[in-house]
Amino acid sequence: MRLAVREEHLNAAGVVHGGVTFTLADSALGYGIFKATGRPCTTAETKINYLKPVAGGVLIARSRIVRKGSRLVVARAEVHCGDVHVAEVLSTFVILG
Amino acid sequence: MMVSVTSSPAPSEEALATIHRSFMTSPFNRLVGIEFGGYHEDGVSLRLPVGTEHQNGAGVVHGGVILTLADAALGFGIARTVGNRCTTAELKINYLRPVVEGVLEARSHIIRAGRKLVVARAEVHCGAKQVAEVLTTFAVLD
Repeated sequence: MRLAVREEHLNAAGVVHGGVTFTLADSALGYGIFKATGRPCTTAETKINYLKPVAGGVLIARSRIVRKGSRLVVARAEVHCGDVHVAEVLSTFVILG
Repeated sequence: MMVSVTSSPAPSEEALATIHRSFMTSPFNRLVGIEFGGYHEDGVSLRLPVGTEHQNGAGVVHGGVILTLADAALGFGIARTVGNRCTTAELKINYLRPVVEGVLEARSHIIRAGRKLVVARAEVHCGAKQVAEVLTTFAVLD
């Protein structure tokens, strides 16, 4: 998933707000997991490591499923801005219904 | 994954040998039975042949054993890259499957090495099956 950074994504320090990076990663994770399971699912917990601040450009979040269980799915995501790795995410999703 | 090291130049051969000795002779690592697996570009691998002494009351390997193996591979890999003393600041582990027997192997991968903090991940496998995924932050001490 991609997000072109605009001024409304910045925090008071002039860099992309951590919630923006998180939201993009969570979307890529949820989409990837829904695509793999075909069932509705929701984030149970997420850990994010912010690696570099971003002031502009296009953020790209790429999700990968680590393990798909019958109730829980573990997945990770990398967020890049160009060649720069800006965040690493490890998450657990719960399959609903 | 490209490893970016901004804290210090690559450690000398002598420093690497000291780091290797330090991890492989650490009292707790020896108690648990951790063995050296090998080096790769962005980390190290450590192995642990599972015995009954590693099991919990349910007859599967205790989660603390898997975390200990992953933490050792992360600490070793990070020390080898940054050449400084470092310690675990926080660690998240996802247990993926229970383990009853076999040989556990933890492979660490450095994601980003800064001056004060290092972010790294590790995968723990038992044979072809991945049994845990770990994401951690280490603090560089000096």
